[in-house]
Amino acid sequence: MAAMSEDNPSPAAKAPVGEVTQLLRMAQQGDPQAPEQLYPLIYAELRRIARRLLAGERAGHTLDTAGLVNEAYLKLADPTQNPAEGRAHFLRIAARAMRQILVDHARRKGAEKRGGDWARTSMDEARLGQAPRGEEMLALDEALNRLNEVDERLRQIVEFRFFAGLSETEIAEALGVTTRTVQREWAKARAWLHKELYGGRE
Amino acid sequence: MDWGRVWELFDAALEKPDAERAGWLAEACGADAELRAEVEGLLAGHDRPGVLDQHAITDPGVLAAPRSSGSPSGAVGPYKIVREIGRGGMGVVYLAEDPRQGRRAAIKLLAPHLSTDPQARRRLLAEARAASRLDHPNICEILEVSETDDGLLYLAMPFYEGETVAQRMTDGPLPLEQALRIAMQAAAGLGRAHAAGVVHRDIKPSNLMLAEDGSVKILDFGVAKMHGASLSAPGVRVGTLAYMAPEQLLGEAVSAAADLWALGVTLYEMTAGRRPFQGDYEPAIMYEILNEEPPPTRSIRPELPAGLDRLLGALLEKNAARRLSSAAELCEELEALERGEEIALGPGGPQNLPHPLTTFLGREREIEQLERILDRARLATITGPAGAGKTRLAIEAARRLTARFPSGVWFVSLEAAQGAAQAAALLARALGLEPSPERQVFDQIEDALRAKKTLLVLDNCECILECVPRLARLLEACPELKVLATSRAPLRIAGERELNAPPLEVPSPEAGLADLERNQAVALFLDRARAGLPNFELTAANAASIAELCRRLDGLPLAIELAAARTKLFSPKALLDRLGQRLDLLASPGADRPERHQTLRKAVEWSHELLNPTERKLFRRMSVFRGGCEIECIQAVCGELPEAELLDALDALLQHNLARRTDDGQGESRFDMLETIRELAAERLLANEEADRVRQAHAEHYLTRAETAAAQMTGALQAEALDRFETEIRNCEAAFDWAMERGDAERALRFGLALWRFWLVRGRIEEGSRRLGAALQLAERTVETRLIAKALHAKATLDQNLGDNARATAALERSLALWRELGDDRGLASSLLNQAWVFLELSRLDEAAALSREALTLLERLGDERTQAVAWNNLGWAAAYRGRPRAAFECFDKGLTLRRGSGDRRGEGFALACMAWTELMQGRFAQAHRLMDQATRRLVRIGDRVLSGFALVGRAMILLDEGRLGEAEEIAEKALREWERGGNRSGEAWTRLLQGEIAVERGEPGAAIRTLESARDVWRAIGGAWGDAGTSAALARALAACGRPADARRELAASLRTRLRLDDRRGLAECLEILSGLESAARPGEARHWAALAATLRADCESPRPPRRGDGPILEQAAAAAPPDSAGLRREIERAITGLG
Repeated sequence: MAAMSEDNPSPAAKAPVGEVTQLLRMAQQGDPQAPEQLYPLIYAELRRIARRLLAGERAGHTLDTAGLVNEAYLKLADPTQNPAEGRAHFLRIAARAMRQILVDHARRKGAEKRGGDWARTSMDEARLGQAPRGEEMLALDEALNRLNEVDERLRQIVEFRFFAGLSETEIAEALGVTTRTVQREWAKARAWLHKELYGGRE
Repeated sequence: MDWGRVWELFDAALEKPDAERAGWLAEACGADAELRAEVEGLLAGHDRPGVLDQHAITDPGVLAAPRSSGSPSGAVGPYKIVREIGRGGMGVVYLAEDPRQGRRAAIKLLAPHLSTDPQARRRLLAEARAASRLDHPNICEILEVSETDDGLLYLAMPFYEGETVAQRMTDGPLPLEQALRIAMQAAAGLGRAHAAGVVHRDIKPSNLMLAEDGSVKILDFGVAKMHGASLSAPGVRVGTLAYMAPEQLLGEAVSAAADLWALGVTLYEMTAGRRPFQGDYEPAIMYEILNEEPPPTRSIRPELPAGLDRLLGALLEKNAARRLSSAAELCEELEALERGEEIALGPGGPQNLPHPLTTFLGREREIEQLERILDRARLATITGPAGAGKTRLAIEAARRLTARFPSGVWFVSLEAAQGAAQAAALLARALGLEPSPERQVFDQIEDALRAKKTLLVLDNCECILECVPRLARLLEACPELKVLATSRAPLRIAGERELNAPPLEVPSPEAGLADLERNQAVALFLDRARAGLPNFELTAANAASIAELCRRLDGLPLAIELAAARTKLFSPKALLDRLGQRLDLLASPGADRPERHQTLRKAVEWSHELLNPTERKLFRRMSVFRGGCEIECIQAVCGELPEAELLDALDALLQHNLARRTDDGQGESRFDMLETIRELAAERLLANEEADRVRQAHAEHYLTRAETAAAQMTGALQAEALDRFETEIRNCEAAFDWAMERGDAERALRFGLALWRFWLVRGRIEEGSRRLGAALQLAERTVETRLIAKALHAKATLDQNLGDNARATAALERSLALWRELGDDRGLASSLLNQAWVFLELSRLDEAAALSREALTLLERLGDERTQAVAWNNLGWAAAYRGRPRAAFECFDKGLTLRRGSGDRRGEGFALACMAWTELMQGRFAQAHRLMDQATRRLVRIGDRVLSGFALVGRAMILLDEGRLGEAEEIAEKALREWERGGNRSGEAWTRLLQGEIAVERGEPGAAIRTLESARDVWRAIGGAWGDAGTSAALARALAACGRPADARRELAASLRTRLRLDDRRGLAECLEILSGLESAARPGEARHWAALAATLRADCESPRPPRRGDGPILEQAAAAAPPDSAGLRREIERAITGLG
């Protein structure tokens, strides 16, 4: 009889919770392979959750990215097993995954534009509530790579805050610093990036 | 760059107040210009708003979207990809290995756009499930439907070694036997699918796989309909296009018949070696499919048998209702062809018989009896209890009789008709008539069926017992009509012949195995059991149980089906044990019903008990739907259930025959229940005390749908919105009724407001008005004033269209008062315009114009262009009625521009038709026709009876003035039918007036008088003075031609009086011309005087005289002079009136 298999699980979900926990532990211990292995698992889970949200969510709601990331964490990792550090690794990878997804999306939209031509147009208030334009995203991505050369942690904070939508407290916890530090670092990163993107002039 | 220093300075600078910042920085950096520039840049960046102030992702869709294309890296789900096999518009197909089962599979990876949209996904999953249950050797199995990590959906199918029919054909046509055999197998597969309510929609040679073992597998079941959207990709279409049925191309309802068309095309191609419909580019192919007949295959390959072309003719019939649509029948014909026998196909008439859900067994004797009965009698009624299979019997018998009824065989299910009005509407709808006020429905039906050899199959006549006398009259009025009815009890009409549908013959206890195999009840059991277990056999071991089961179930087909559906789980012996216990129980409540009914009831109850709690819940709740529903609606009513569970439960109900699925023709599945079962489910719902809650959820859901759809019924998407709504209307009305029952006036009014336009446009005006009226009465003070005002306005519009101007005015006065009270300008403007329209009908032209201008002022302030157009329209009519066509044209034109701007197709059409009329009045026929063409194009699509009628009348008027009388008459007839269907009285009156004028032109004054008098009756009934005057004038001409001058003069005087009052100069000119004609013999001087005055008025209006019979030289030579002033004109006309005595 033909099996109607909607619950044919994909590898990530099949992975027992233990696997992710294991990998996180290994990452903590400095295993360079672990993050790479974690990445696809987390990536897939984020997407799965997003799709569920898509099905249920009414149009016009801003996506609660932090919630998304947290949910993925709860789903994949065993909170009791993972001390804060493990979670920090998770968040790092999740934030990277979110960034990657967005950049892929922007690229797919065909919005490749080198340089800052578009930046000459002013950024008006009205756009504040909307999602960034595709070409802005790509430029941001590139700029982030350059920022990484300057200061890794700043790049990290941008990923946490902008892409994963984590709160200052959560970021502080993940990085093991104070919230004040997070605020200051964020201001620096933001200033640096805006300077890169918009030419430092009005 | 020393970033440490940079950041230090940055941090510190931010601490400084704005004014000091620059100075402080300059100092701190000293000579290091580079450092300073860097920090300044950062500070500027800090101040500037930018991308990092936005949310990165606002739309989950971005996150959820799968990666773009590109072959998956080696695996799709658990399958390991070996290589790509093919590509299509829907996705890529790979050969893969299933490591779990150690076998090969074909994986179809669907294109991303099909995977992201949640609605598409849900539908795809539902359809794929349905397809995966089609267990048949000629249907390609679907092993699983799942998704990759990336969220791309894929289907796994067994991999068949072999080639597709398309590949097989690359070397040329196939040998006849091979082609026939392929077609037969494909037809067998299709038959199974169609029986389960699944239409493939994309049958073509590349979807027919020839497996190694020689069997044909149909591919892509269940998903073909998904790529409806992607068919717009260029290039993809052409290949599929060649196989599409005409109704598919036109975007109309698609049924099983479309699959048979496609199979026909395939068969043609296989045998002839080329496609029947060819072309290098899309439009060419489409044209051929829609309009051309393909050359007979014998003209391409003479050795092919004649029967083949006849068969292809039946399959490639462009009208789906006339096409061969039963796959089973096709199989038979193909077999006959193979054996070299004659094809039994006759030209059947059009029919709409539903496709059987299951194969029909037994009952040959009864069918023959019915055929004989209908030879002699006019009405045959199949009686019997519920579940006796009366409907199936009727359908089968009707199918066999189609050849005898060339004008058609029409099936109407009166199953859930609530009341005589609905039943009448269903009947009219099945015949393709738009039902109008109830009193006219049967008249319409009579007209439609008179002198036509038709068979009506009326299913479940219990509901129309009230209309039985009318049905009897119908039979009398239409001598060629025959009726086959099913009912629980006979209808008792004279000449009725009753056939009691016995349950199936049950086997006697002594019957041996051989006898059992021949027994009808047992055969039915076996057939149904095999739907779940294909290899189920009647054996010595289970024979006794099966036989006993059939006996205990009294041979009732439905009961047997319910039991047989469980054979997957229970052996016949187990079934007998359990069910037997059930049947032994004392009768359930309602024991006054006859025993047989009890059996069915118990069978349903028993089946119900085998359901798990979720399934039971679904079963109960589905009872609230009338006329079926879509899956979304079921979800709305069972909200708390997760989707997967719900689908599972639905599956279960379908499998156990407690619910059924149909394809609604647009690619959506609809689910419903047999009425008998629905009633029982409803009882359960009540017993569970959930009824109110569920009906509430039902009502809320449909209210939302109705309100959403209503918003679109006025905009650019009107036509689609109206079509979609048809299927939902019964549910909406049921919800409306429920609201009324509970005294929920607010909801009832909201429904009324959502539905009224639909009722108006589809000609169910009286019903609509009545419903709104009832809701309004209920409302009193408890409801929001605005709602009441709107509802009054809506009701007034409906009443107007019925020609009940008095009621309309009453409602409008109330609504105007309420709007003023609320200070709502928008509402006020709408109602003012409505009232203005009523005044136009009553020929109170000045008042109409005044109100319209008042509304226009309000609307201009509100900036509401769409409604401004309506005001301009009114002003146009006022001018036109006064015979000032140029002014009227300008008003209509203004309206047209505004309507175009707001995408109002209906309004556009209307405006264009009005403009055509004014061109006509100015004697510009070519322009009038052109404008009318444009109008017609827009109006026909919407299916708006009222406006199509209007467009037709307009056309007829142009033709009359041109002197093309035959054509005018033809079109006037059509117009009349539209009005009758739509129930619009003034349109009717107008058309009759026109017909009268045509008759006069043709020299048939006697007939003209009759027609005109009936027109006048209607005008007077609705209070339309303008029309009344026009009719009087025409009557005057007719009477004069009949040699009744005194009567003619009287009528003419009446007409002059009214037209003077209305200040209708054009009308006055017409009257004067008639007067001139009356005087021409006896008093030529007077005749010339009147003719000159007429010519003067006409010149003033710029409305030339159309040539008329009997015009004579006086009129022709009359010269226009300077027009008199109003007082002077008045004197002249009064003199004329006096002169007429």
